[in-house]
Amino acid sequence: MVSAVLLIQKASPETITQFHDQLSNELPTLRGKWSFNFKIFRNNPYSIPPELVETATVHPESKFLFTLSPSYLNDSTITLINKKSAGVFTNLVKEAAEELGHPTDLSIPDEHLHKGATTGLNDPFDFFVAQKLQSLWTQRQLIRGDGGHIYELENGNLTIRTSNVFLHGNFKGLLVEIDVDKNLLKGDTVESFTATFEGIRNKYGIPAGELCCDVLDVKNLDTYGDLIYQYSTILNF
Amino acid sequence: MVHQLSLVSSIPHSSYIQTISTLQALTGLLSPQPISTYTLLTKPHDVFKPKFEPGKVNQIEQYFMKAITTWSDSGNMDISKPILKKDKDTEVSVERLFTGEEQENQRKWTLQISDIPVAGKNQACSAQTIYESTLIHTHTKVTTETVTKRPQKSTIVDENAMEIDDLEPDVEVVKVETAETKEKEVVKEEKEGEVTKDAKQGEENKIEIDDEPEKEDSKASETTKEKESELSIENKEEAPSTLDELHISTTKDSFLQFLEDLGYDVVNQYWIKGIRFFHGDTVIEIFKVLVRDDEEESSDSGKIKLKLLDESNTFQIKTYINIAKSTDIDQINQGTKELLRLQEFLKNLFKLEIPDRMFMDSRVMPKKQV
Repeated sequence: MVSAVLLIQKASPETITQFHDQLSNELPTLRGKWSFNFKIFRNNPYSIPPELVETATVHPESKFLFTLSPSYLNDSTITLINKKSAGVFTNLVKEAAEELGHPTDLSIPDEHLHKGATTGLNDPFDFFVAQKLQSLWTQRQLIRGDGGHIYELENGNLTIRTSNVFLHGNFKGLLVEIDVDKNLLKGDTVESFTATFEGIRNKYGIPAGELCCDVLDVKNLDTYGDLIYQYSTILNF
Repeated sequence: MVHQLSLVSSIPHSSYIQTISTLQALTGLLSPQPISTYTLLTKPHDVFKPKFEPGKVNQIEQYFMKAITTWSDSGNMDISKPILKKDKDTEVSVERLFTGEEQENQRKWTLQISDIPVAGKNQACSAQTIYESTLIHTHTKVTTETVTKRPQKSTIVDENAMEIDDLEPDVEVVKVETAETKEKEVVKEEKEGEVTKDAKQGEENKIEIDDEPEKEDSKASETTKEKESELSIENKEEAPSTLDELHISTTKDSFLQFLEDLGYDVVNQYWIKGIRFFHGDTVIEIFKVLVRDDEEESSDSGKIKLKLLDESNTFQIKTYINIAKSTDIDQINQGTKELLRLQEFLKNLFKLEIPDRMFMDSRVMPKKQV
């Protein structure tokens, strides 16, 4: 899957309902509701590189760590540090996820627990950072996505997720996440991705807004890493 | 978040069979579960220097972090047999990690930070809170080729570069490398005292405690030496390999890059091999700790030879109960009682004790001014 994220900042109740109506006319498969939490952490300025300890009182540069936990990825947190490295954390062991009836494609393999590498009682990564890495990262912002819908189109090759974005309780716009299967892409450059997603945007009447389909590494696509990279670019208030 | 109640002990190798038989009878578990973990000990790269304000106490601490994964030894190590030095039959070795092969991307790592155990005079067992989160997938855009192609980026990458993946397409590379190596060594010498302390703390964190401080010191410095020689070996090894890889785009190992970006440096490593029994809610683990053996090279260059940390072949024992919430007082009281019952029951076999709290402290202490 290759994704793109679109934020319509000028969305009003009318445009949102109109857009939902239009999508419903395409007879999509409804995949239920979803929501997300997006947290922005900044490096703690008082953590100073060892070579500057004697001279500086604050870290000379700013770095950011983002975490994204969408509700459709059960118990998982995607994270991106410094817009360079991405990671997916999860807190359910496969056997526990099976018991709960959760999807198991993102879960800790049983062996990891059995051989003793984890206690099996994992914390979400954003909690871990907030609790134990305070000396390195401090939380700056929490962006919430609520009241989201998931539409599946074109025999499951295209998924459109919509969600309202809130910052400190204020409405910030309508976020549309578009996921397409790799074989619908017209090429393997960022320009061709833009063309593909603009095509989809026109076809389904998605209102114009800030579209981001940049990826971390064009030669080596990574579904989750690229997704959070796009969120971090778009949700930059 | 896990609230862990634990007691520890150790037994000489000779009483292994007796211990196992007793525990089999006690738990009814004829084939105990094997455990084998590989742990990287990591330390924050940056120094935390909060602004001093009168009347304000800094509550934020820096912690050592463990990155744990599973490992399997190449030669089916049998922990019931003692491992002797220079004995080819019991040689333990492990495949090298981070060789840049694709499958390494799929390795799962648990990042774990533990609090110092609860203080108090009347503790019946050690109680500490452990935070952990498991990384199941990593991805990075940092490639070695990026360094050569984009000069603006290279400065950023260089600052963060952990190892010596400096890729200048000149012949000077080797010189640059050696200069850098020397620099690193100098820095290392400066840090030596600190590292020794780190290694010591690390050792104490992971297992239980020896009562002789002298022994600890020697052990710690040994590990420091190991670490150093390991680093220098790596430096040497990497110099020629980088030359070969000049025109090949190799993505930097995404897990190491992730750790580095998170702000942690690897300072030490160890392997654990053992077995585990379950008695009610109590887990009884019997294991040996292995470290890298740098005196002898493994016959296979793709593998790392391991040796025992404690060459007397002593087994470490840890009994613990994990409680999901540290606020669940009922569970904690009940767990404590269960552990004490087990301690009483096994007292003739081995003596379960509370590990020294100070050795279980994983906080990074600010460098003392000399």
